Amino acid sequence: MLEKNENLKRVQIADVVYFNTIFDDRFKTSRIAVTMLVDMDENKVSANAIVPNILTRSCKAYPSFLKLSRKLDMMYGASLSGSNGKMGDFQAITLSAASIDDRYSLSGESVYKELGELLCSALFEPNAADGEFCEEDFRQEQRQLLDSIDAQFNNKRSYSMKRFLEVMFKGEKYGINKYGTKEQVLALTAKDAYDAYVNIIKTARVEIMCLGSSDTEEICELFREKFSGIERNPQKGETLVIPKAEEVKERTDYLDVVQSKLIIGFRTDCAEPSEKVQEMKLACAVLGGTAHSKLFNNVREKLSLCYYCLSSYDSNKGIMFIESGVQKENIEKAKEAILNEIEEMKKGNITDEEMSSTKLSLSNKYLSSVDSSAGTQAWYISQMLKGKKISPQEEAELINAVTKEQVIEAANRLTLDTVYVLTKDDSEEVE
Amino acid sequence: MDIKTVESKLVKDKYYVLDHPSGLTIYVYPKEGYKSTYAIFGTKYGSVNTRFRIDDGEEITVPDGIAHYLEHKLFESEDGDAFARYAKTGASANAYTSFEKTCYLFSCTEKFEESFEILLDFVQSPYFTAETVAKEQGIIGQEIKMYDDSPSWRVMFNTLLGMYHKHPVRIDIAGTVESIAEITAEKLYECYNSFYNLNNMVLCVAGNTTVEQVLSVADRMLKPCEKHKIENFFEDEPYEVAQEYIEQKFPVTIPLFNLGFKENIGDKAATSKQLAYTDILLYILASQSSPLYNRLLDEELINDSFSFEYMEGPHYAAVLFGGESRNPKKAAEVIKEAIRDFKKNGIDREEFEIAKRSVYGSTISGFNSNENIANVLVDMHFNERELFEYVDAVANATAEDVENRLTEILDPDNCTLSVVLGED
Repeated sequence: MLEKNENLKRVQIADVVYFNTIFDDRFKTSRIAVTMLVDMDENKVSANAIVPNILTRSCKAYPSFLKLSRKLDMMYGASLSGSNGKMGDFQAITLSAASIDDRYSLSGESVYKELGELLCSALFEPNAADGEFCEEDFRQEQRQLLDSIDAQFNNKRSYSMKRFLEVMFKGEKYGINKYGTKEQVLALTAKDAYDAYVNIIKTARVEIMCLGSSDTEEICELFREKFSGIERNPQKGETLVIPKAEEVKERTDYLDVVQSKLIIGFRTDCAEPSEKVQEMKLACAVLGGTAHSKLFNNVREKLSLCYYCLSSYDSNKGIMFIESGVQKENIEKAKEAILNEIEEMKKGNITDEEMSSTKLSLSNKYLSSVDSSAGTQAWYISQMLKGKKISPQEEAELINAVTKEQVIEAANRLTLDTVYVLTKDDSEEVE
Repeated sequence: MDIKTVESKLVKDKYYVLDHPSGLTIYVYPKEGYKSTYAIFGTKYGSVNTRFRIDDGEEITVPDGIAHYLEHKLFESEDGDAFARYAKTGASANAYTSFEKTCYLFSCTEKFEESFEILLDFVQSPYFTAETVAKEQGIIGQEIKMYDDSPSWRVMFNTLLGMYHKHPVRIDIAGTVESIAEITAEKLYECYNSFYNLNNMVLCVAGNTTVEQVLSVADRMLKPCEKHKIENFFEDEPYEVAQEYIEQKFPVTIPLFNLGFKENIGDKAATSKQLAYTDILLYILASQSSPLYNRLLDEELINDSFSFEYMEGPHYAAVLFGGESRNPKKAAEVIKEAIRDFKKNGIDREEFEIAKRSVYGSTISGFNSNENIANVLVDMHFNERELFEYVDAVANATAEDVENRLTEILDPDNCTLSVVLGED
């Protein structure tokens, strides 16, 4: 079990490419993920976004979606998936593969090694020719990416979050939608996507993270060999952290929704790799991170003002936001009640009970995460990318050491940046 | 007390089944090396149980949504709510109501016994007053509204509305703003006393725990119950679906669809084997490596949101396909055509082997998660199935078994297409 990292091995295999292995024999599965960070760039975001989908759709060895799917089935229902996300001001492109651990294969074969080989094929031997991805693969994934953008709109919670980010981070990389715009996706070609792929392989910061019960020497050598054939030219970007909000931005969008959405954003003056990150984490959780937080107890339960009301802290960017679902007539009241809870915290109105229960709850969250193979993998990927090597247990200890004074101090670092509302337009009814 | 050990060579795990003298069945599934423990306490009582009688007494009809309402209210007691008590132990607690069951759960890494005591205590201690009942109307009203705004939720419920004429599965789990207005403290007690009897309940604990630890709290906290006879009534449901097509307008930019195939289930739940064969069957038919999926994709009728599931409960069972589609009607036609071909031509042996291997792998992977294990144990218990028997059935399935199952489900002439469309 991974308590103090003694089971984590890390080696550099190329310029800013690291191969990490976690030994863990408690799980039925083993998994490998390759995470690649590139600068969030308005002009490249859509092309980058489509790359992981194309790479996991087919490859030279299994040159159609059907052939690749059947190969995965034969590997005991293995998964091979691509994802595209945001981490600070970086775009994170991830390919990951998972299947049953070697101890559960029916004829004693090593599924782990096969996973490594498959992931290498997907990453280094794509289904492409003459500097372009296979047109059919590209077209299918382009269509699906357009659908993802539309789906972001269909889900009103994700839509309001997307709009909020655009408003609060106008002019910042962080405000760029991870898919880009519909127009950008429509304008892409199979060559654009391939160029983006080549750029990622050459310039991204790469973390490979393996988790399982078998040795990974061979998998590591495979990746080392593949990367040795790449002319690496890694980027050196940084996330822009704006410590304090200048003035409050307010924005209301109208849409035919039954339940309105209210999102309030803050700058926190506290971002990675600051030593004060755990203080802000705890402050955010005391405010609205648990089922006994101030927002849950006071705004949701006592005042019945919203169905959900919770706060999140992004330590990479140094921001905090509060999301809630409210009835239209309660928007103002909910906003006041939420801001009032923060004022109370700033004044020091935090009980010992709130401190201890929030610590217990966060500690529970971190300690539980090691019982999930995906959770453990994700935790260490994010640690590596932050340049840290803290185990979930150590994180829990750091949180437990935070004092009430430090939480009050953290609350006082918050500055209100943006108030965003998505609601129904009743103007016709008023007339 | 009778303690039974159930072991699986394939999963390389074992669990214990305890017939507790209080009337409750308890499952304990220890996971070596795990830091966390997950406990779930459930009753075989969900949103569909709106007409029933106890020990041959009067038949009772209760308002739609009452099981879910009861779940919310049970968290409260005379001296505060259970969440506040869990706050002192650090456990992460929750509850849910589905069509056929209501469950209360928590997971924790420290102070398991304290949290476990809270769970057993509040679920066995109802406290409903006119005042506390009235207070919940607003919150649940908001919850119902939130579902009204969710196109994926609507498209699924409209499918059920279309498939069923009478069965209460056609009604939203949370009820309606009107139906929950009829709920009173008396009615909550009536439902509580009928269904929250330990003989009608189950308790599952998985993760960092032992039988001794579970019993040390359970022996003290469980209040023995007289077993009583519960009869649930459902109106006769015709075999045919009520509506073949149902549509709702919504502010969506890409339409959603669900295609539901109604099954003639009667009052018996599927067996472990039937369930295993169904899962392999649906995998052959519609997984990413099926000809059907690839055709739908190539013709741009679906995207990777496409999924399928087998849903079942008292007196109902159905197979649902769904996802986003620019042309739901065409997608539905292609799926029905594939089912007709499938029934006519039988199952390809190679496709069968591939699917079986894949379903086997996913099943094994499921045993990573305490949460998954405990929830599946609850389901298996209420449906009188055994967990490892399902794994064995997957591993030992033959193409003939799966072909036989195909004759029982997926009637292409008895399905409902539900679509959520953009407003313009």
